[in-house]
Amino acid sequence: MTVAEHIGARLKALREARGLTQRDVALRAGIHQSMISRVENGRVGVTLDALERQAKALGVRLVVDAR
Amino acid sequence: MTTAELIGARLKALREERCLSQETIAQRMQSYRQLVRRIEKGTHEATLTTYERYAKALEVSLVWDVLSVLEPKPPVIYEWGSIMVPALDQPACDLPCAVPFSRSHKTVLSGLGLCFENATSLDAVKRVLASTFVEIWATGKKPLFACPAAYLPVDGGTMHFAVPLLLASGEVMTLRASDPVAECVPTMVLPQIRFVLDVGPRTRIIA
Repeated sequence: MTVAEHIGARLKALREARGLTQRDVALRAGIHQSMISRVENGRVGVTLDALERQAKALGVRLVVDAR
Repeated sequence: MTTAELIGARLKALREERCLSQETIAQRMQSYRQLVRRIEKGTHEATLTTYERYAKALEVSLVWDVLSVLEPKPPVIYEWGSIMVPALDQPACDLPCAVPFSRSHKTVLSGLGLCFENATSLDAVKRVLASTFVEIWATGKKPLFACPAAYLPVDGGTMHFAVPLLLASGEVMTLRASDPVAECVPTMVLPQIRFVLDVGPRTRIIA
């Protein structure tokens, strides 16, 4: 599983746990629904900005550690 | 400071630790120095793939995760084995002591270059790390407690970092430093933690 797939799966699980649709999150985040889908599916080309917006819309915070 | 700026600053610090130039990183990434410079400044709208390429060029790993921050967490007293600490400011000497490993006397938190004497309390760790971090998170990979996370507010700069620790129970815990999360309740109660040097690269923790 790639990093993008991992974080996408986490966000998808959080969205579903909150009973939200991709469209709900897209509206909250101010980004297109297709981008929500791209993030959740771990597609390439997902920007940090899109990831942060989506996380914020779900009430979570993106954390990155370098080791 | 944005997440992009935080990551950029962290990557830059790691690059400079390794005495590598932006040009070298750019070559390893098969890209341009300008891109490296913009990533480090947090001004480039980079994709996750780009960050991963940078990290690979540095020979480090980036760990991405999300933390729930908007739901207020009630204060919790953590019971860790037989030790219950009612307040953060209770002197460590007043706490019951677990038997330390006889061969051990200190531990090094990998990547930070910091040493803690054996039987160091979280409060002492907080004081030491205060020069670097704003918060120290203690989170369990498994649901160890009623509350999934707690943090200690400290003064200082901001930087993300996580220190994996092996609990005496065999579970892995991560001490995570992060920048302020206003929604969290700053009155969490944490147990005293004892750091003991392990033979391997991991740190064993006894409370």
